[in-house]
Amino acid sequence: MVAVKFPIAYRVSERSWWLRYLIATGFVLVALILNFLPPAQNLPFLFFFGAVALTARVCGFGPSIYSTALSAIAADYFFLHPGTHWGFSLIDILRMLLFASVCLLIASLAQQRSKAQRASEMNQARLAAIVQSSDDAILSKTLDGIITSWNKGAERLYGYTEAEALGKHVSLLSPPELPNDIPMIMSKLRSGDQVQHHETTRIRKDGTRIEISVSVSPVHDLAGNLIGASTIARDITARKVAEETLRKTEKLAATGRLAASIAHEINNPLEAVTNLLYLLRKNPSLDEKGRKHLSFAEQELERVAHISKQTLGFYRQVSSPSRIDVARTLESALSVYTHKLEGRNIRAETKWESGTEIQALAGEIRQVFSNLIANSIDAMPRGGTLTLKVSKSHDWGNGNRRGVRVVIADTGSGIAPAQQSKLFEPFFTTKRDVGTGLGLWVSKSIVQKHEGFIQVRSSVRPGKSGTVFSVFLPESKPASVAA
Amino acid sequence: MKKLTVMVVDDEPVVADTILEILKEEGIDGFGFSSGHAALNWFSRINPDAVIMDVVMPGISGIAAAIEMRKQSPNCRVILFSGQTSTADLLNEARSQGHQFEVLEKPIKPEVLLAQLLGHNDSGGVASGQWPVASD
Repeated sequence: MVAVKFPIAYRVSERSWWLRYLIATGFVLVALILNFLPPAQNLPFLFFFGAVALTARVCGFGPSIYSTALSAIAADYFFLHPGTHWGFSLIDILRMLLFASVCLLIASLAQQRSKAQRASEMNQARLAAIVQSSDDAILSKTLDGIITSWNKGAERLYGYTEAEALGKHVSLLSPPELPNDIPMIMSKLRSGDQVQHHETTRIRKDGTRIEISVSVSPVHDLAGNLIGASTIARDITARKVAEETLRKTEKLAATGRLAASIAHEINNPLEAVTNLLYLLRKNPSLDEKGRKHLSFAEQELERVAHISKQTLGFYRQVSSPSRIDVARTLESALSVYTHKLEGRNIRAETKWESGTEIQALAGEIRQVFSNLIANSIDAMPRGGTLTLKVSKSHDWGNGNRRGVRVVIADTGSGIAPAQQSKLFEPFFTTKRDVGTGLGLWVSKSIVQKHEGFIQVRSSVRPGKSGTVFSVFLPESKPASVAA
Repeated sequence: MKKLTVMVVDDEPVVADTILEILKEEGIDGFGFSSGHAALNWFSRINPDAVIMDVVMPGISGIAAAIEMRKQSPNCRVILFSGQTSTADLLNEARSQGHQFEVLEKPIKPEVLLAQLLGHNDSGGVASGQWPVASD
């Protein structure tokens, strides 16, 4: 669809009446003068017909009757009789009447054509206005993909002005990660197909990505040849965001249900095995070797219990929050991993500030630290430095809230930017083999429950890679945390 | 020291049975039940010093049974234990009705359970009944 700007033809018929009659008079005068030319001598009415037709076309029907009358008089006076004088014989009157009827016929035909053309122009103007004022982006392009029209909606959606977009190739709007999208659409078009509500991503002039739904239809000329395509695109970013949020919420709810049922199924047998091992230890007939095996079994069982608590989360401490020293809690969480750190050749650097006490659920906070430390260790299979810092701090967003900031940093492989936004989602893991995808999700919900927040920064640049987790915990915690 | 009498209620027989055996090792008389109803039926006849009871069970919940037992025998010690998250909600509901209970989370180390039962738990907090999340 070519959004040509249709110039509204200059039409005298919309002007004042006296101007129209003046112009009609002008046409007749010109016809009169032309009629004095030699070729017209034998056809006295020839140019008057033209004058009447033009008047009808340009000035409307009223002036055309006027110009008919005027022409009749002029023809009678100047041309019907040798010399210039009036003639009112019967034949003269018949001639005049014939002339007048032919004129009126011409006038009405001309008038009708003019009306039809005006209606069509009005229609086109109306369509053009609709295209221009549409909220959707409407553009047209040649079969080669060169943009030939660009409405205001397209300016808003893509950020390019009409002048910037015209003549450019549509691949201008294609994000680099989708190189085949536009060629696919163009090849469909060339085979005469439409593309309906195709959902895809485009890139704006400012580089931001937008989600759009696009419909592309082939455009044919009057002879039916395919000459290009029209595209209507709608911004569906908001809808996509809403869908994504819903998807995440549903995932969370499903996760909660799943975890609750798994926790129940696992914790009961764990309880039984724990009791059985305890009873076995009490058995006096157990020899030294048996005791050793038993002790390993107990250690492993403890690990299972630990993992169950950590990943199935839902460790909802029933007691109420108490004053805890954050640095000491972090230290005790770290102590669990001493052996692992040595094995991996990881150096731990710690920097505690004194007096980092907050009101919190100790077990849950320790679980957060434990998760973060374990992640850092997993990120450094070939050694590195684990940095732990605890300092008194303020809420970075709201300076009035005092609290404690904990930084846990590693020099590991880092997390790719595309993955960073998903880190805190349930079942998302970068550790294909060992991750459950629940650790960070649980950690985040614990931190949020304490009205704190957790942030991540990471770099994958070789030589400078690493990940930093920052946790802010407010000094005093709301009472609602207890449950 | 007076010999204790304890009721153990859990819908998983292996859990109830192993706890009874552990109690027996310590010279404590125990009676096992697999539902809150069964436990309530026998409660007045046994007149226990303490009840160790699961929270989430088919039929009447451990918390509802515990409230009823408290009514009948205010001095009886009730220790609830649970492997489920919904416990916290049930407890909140009980708390809103004025009932406070000690709750341990499964799995509980037998040492911790015994300490709780015999009353020589030094911390006094329920949190000490948990498996340590990150210690050892």
